[in-house]
Amino acid sequence: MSTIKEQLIENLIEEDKVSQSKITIIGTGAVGMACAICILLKDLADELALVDVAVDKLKGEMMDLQHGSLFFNTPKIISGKDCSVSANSKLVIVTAGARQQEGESRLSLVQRNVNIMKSIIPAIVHHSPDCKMLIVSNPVDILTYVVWKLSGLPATRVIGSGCNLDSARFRYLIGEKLGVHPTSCHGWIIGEHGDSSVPLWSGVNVAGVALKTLDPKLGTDSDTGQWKNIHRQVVGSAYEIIKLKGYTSWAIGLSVTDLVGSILKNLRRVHPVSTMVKKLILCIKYMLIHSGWLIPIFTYCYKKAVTASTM
Amino acid sequence: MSTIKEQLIENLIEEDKVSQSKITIIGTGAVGMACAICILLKDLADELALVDVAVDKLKGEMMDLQHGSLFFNTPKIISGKDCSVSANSKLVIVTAGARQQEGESRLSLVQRNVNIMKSIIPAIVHHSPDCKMLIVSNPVDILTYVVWKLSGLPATRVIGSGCNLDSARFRYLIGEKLGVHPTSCHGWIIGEHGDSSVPLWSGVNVAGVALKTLDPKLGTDSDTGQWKNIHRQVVGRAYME
Repeated sequence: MSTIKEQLIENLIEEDKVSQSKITIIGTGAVGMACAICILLKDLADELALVDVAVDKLKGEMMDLQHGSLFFNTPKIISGKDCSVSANSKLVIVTAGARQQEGESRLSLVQRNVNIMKSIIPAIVHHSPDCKMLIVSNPVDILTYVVWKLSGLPATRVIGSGCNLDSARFRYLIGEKLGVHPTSCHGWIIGEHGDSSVPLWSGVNVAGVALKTLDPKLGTDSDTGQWKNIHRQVVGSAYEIIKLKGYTSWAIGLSVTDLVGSILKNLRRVHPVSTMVKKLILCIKYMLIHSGWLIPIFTYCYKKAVTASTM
Repeated sequence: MSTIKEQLIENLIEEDKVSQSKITIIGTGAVGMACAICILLKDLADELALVDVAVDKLKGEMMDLQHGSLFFNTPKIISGKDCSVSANSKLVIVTAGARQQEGESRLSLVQRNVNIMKSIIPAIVHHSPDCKMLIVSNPVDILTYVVWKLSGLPATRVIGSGCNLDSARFRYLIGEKLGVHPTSCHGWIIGEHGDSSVPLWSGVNVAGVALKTLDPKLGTDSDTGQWKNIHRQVVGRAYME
């Protein structure tokens, strides 16, 4: 006696079940799940895999997303403690690791997170040797380097989310000050993602009008408009939000999803991300394409950033 | 000496700052914030207001969303402990309240959540007398009634999210069983959102083919395909998570 499925559907061909744009997210904490929901709502993946050591939380998060399947277009969501669920990923997003406590700097997380990477990365690469890796865990610039070393992948395929979020916050704050939408306010922050990031005041513009031509003191201490304060707010953002709600999630999730879109769709957009620059991992502007980052833009910015970072 | 803003921009007209599709979310817990991020990513509001009693959490959540502004199109996100931030809302989503503990039924939350509604709803209606209200807090059917009574709004403007999620879960599970996307699997669950919900087996269909015509025992105890189990899973899922 045939099942309802057999009565309803007759397969005329062999089904090809191999996914074309699979994304794996390592770590199902607040950041990992914010990335997940944004990726689902932006239709970026045809398969999503979640990996975490906390097996109950992992399963609960997977089921919670699956139950929303009616409302998005990612037909396959799987999870596992084992990295094997990540096999055949085009992109692996690493959010796993200890996060900053209130008042704690990102650098103090280093050793704990290096150990976590040692336990995950070789297995990831084994299961998806052609993947790109996007590192989010902090301190992101250092961990991008660590992951690159552990993975054996070419540096062009290991990208740290870097200053993409800092720049987004920068543009939001500039927008608030001017009463203009952030997408129309252009400004770049590069260098270390964190306390030593570098705002490029010369590039800050709206509609091609460089703010520095309107006020040459822009961003300096003698600036009457207090623009340097904006950069200070960007640096302090994460600490402030952690103090208020315990962690940050939504902004970083949106920022990561922005990068994912550029990578998977080969958009050739320019982003401030962290990767190897002459033996240093720091954040400068890269064009993100399908196979990894392409070329550094504006080498004079890089020189400025290197000087700032090594100071 | 003029500011950069004054040098850059000259306003030719008076700006109309009144929002056209403002949404307020009451409660910035996991549910409220999930609603918030989905609403932002679906471009549904031009203004979003968040209200909660936990002021630090509230401010942190507001800032975290604001910092993502580059990536969505809701230019104004505000928050406050006071319902006054909700003024002029087209829609108010109520997620505030105690939530089920492990193994606790939705009904035991009633009294606690009724008290919370008494403290919020009159102020909401005062600030947005033309709004629609969407109730999410559990037990949703009872609280929808309570909110309707407290608000004085016509019943058509007070809606409980009810079985929309149950039906979504139902369709997801049917889809998994048949290997078909949930949007192509049609099925409705109605009645109480929770343990006493009612699956309408006669309506369950794919491409207009009612599954009950393929198997008249669908959803009964003697169903060999175990379809009744699917409804059981829908009811049981929230507890399992």
